[in-house]
Amino acid sequence: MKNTNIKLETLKNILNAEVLTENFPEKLEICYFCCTELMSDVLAFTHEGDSTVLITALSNSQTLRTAEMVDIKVVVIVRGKTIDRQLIELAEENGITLLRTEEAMFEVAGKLCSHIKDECNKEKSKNG
Amino acid sequence: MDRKYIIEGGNFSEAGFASSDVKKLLKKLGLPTNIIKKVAIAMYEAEINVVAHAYRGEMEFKIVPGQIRVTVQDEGPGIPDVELAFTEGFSTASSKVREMGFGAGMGLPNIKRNTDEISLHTEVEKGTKLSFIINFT
Ligand SMILES: Nc1ncnc2c1ncn2[C@@H]1O[C@H](COP(=O)(O)OP(=O)(O)OP(=O)(O)O)[C@@H](O)[C@H]1O
Ligand SMILES: [Mg+2]
Repeated sequence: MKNTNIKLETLKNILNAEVLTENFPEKLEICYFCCTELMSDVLAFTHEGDSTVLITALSNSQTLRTAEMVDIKVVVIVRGKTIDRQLIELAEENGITLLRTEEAMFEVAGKLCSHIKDECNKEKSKNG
Repeated sequence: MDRKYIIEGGNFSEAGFASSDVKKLLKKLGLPTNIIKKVAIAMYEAEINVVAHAYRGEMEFKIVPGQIRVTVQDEGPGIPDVELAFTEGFSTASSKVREMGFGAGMGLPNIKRNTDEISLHTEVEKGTKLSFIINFT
């Protein structure tokens, strides 16, 4: 889904997320949000990997491999799973920023949606 | 330029190594990013199919002027109905495969979408050979 842009730093704060990798390009602009456990769908439907965040409960090495193949640079693991050191290393190796949040997918998506709506409304009242 | 990789059936933690290695190579060679992405997606889907559905396999990658050629040959159960296998949504993936995030029946159609030529030869109870070509200029 194409939305308004949001900076990685803002996304991290909204989700109370913890950054697991050393690389954290806080100014990176995110435009697309892909919330799924289905890696097949990520592979079939990601068009602008560079500006997409993958939000998923799946925390295995294929999550990161999938992101790598479609050039996704930011992955958020939901529901506070413990994350293997190996996974963090795989992310770093491929220049992917890995975040982790205690919240479940439903809350994560809801928070991001309402943030984006608020921003759009602010934008509208400024222009109107 | 050639590369060859062994793929182990059922080993999800190693799956994707071949595709990742090739993706890095193509980046180094300076191929256009849209071509690199097509190759990476098609190879990765093919690699996952061996891991998910077969016992073992071999992946061969070759660049010739204007073309990338990939062949994936496996020993495995084969595919009884190829047309059905290429239908979006058709999958016989086990629950273990689904837990890993795969098994939506999107892989073969996605390989087809991302390649310029594709051929699949399969023999039930023996194995499957999938070849594809991606053109570039
Ligand atoms: N190498 C293979 N050996 C045996 N069967 C295969 C092989 N590749 C594909 N198949 C069969 O074809 C079906 C469709 O494959 P496809 O890649 O489209 O979907 P999938 O692997 O089931 O799910 P997804 O790719 O979305 O994760 C598989 O479920 C399986 O039955
Ligand atoms: Mg598949």
